Amino acid sequence: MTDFRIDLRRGALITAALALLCSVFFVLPASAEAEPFDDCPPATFCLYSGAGGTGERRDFTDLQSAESYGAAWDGKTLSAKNNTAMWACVYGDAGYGGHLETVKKGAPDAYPAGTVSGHKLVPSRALCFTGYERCPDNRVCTFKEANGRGAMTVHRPATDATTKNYGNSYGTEPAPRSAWNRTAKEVCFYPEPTYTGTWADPADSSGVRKFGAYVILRGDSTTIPAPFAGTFRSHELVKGTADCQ
Amino acid sequence: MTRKLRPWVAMAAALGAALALTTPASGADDEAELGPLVAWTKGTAVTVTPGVTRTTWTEKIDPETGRTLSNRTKARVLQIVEIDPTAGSLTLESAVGTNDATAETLTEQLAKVTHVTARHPWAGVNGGLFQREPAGAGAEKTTAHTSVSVTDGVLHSSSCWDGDKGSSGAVIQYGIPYVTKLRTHLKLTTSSGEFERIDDINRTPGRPPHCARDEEDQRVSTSPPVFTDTDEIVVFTDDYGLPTPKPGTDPLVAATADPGYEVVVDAHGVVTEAREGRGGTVVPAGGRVIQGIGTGAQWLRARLVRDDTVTIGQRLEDVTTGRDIPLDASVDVVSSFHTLLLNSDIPKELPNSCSGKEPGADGVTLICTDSRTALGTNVRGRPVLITLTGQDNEDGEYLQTFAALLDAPVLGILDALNLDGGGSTTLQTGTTVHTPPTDLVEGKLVHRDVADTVYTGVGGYGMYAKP
Repeated sequence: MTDFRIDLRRGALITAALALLCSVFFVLPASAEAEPFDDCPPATFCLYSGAGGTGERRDFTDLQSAESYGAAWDGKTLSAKNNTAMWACVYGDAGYGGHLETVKKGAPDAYPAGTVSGHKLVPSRALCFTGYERCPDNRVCTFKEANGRGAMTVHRPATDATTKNYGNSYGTEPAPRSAWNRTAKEVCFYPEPTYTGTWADPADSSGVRKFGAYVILRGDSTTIPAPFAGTFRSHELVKGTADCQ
Repeated sequence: MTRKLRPWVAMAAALGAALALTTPASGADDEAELGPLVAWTKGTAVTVTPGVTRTTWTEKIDPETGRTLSNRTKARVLQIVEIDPTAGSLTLESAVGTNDATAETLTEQLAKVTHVTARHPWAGVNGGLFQREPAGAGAEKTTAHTSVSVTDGVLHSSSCWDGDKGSSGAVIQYGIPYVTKLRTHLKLTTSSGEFERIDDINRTPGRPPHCARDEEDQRVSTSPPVFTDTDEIVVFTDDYGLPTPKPGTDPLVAATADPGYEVVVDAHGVVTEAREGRGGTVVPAGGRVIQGIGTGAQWLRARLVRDDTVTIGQRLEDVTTGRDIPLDASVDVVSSFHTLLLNSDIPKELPNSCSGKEPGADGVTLICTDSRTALGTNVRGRPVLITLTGQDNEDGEYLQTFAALLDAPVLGILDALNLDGGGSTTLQTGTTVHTPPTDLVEGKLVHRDVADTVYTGVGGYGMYAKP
């Protein structure tokens, strides 16, 4: 996520500049017509297929977040109004991934076509920047993007028939960028689907030293740094890190 | 996405916008962005580790008057540690150090997070408000949290009552501190379904510190603030770390002399001991000890005997949303009395309080020398750890003025919770403490022992391949 509206004050500055321009060109809002977004019910987050609160409308309560809308609505949103008491986090990609915009309570917003794929409603704006909360208790969850965002895989522990390892092998699915070990055991991640493999230590110019596992301790959630990011192909759950391969 | 600006900021913004149409930058823009920090100088951000930076703002001294704009002869420093959870393998958590009953310096607490040097926390500040219980509790340095405290899902203290409105706190989960109002609901239930309210956790029965836990608590002292209730049930967790308190903790609070009744519960909720009197008991691993005084003792005495089962019900309610926050191992909470910023607004109920006042450089006007610690988030969704101190002395600010300082647009802080301040204020990165020692012990200035800490640590790490 690199293109979110980062500065609330700058938004106000732009608003002030636009107001100044409006005054120059004598553009006044129509007073007798219904205000845009007036049809959005109280305590509701409304998405519109048209600009400025026009077109088809989809309603969501503050308990109704959506990791995706499905083919019928994905990318269709052109404007929104947040009438809930929460912050609305609007995402460009499904699974709370991609481009992020935040909408304060009571505020409208506008989007280019094809840029809205999901949203969630949260009590604090900072919670828009993470998606870890989707991970259920007693599971290892991995995410396509940093900080728990993007498509999530919830791993159900299984015993590998060959190695007898208690964990998961990912096969060809996308390697994660962040993970939450929400179990009571430690997790060792590996670069090969067979619970093996190594990474070269970037700090060792001789190339002799290698990492044999990336460890996330019980309860920790984290973005995965280089050289490990995007390379995990399997993991196992262990009682102590000495049990990592 | 817009924000309601204060009139002076809005005016400055409008002026800035007008000028921005013709010029690329302007002094008015800068002043609006700096707000009250216009009287401060920003230092170079220091990278602690990828994703963790410490930025220091130092107050300017007018070379002609030799004073700061805030009427001081010595400049203060505002330090902000910003944590970018997308830039590195980072966590945000709280910890209580050796155990929940013992206060320690921040340095000592951070050292106990791990025994592995490479995984030592990157940065931390002192945590929530607490109060020392008198030495009569059986050990020096016994502490009790002022309000909600949770470490790894273990609740260490109930919320303040405040007319059933709950108290301010930050729920720290998956790297984000969420500032809100919290209320605890604690209940003891027997196997037959009878239940009774639990008053608190990990503190001496009869002596709620700092704030009333319910409407029955009566104030008995203002300095330090102490309340009393003659009829209480208090639970002790297995990380309390010291033997449970005996009668007579505080000679000034009669209720603490109640001999009471004590019940020991194992990790499966089975009563292993139920006896007259209380105190001196070590809480079994995974278990709990329940102490009662007054009618609380009578309730325990009448209902619980060895081999009974009891359930200790704990709910943490987010008053803002009206929803419960499940107390699993991913949840930490630190608390205090005051929220400084919420959605970049200073709450109307925030008092302009100060404990330590003294004449400023003009010899007349009182300045506030309370050092300050805060925990918050900024517009980038990143957690921030904040301290305001003197450079080599205890100094700080009135609470509202501190909030206004943090509300400077250039900082971009949206939400912030005030944490324990004064001599407790401590900031450390790596093994270096960046705040001055304040407490005189045997003629030497030392950093104060505190109840808990908020820190950013190592979220994951590479392990070398076995030979």
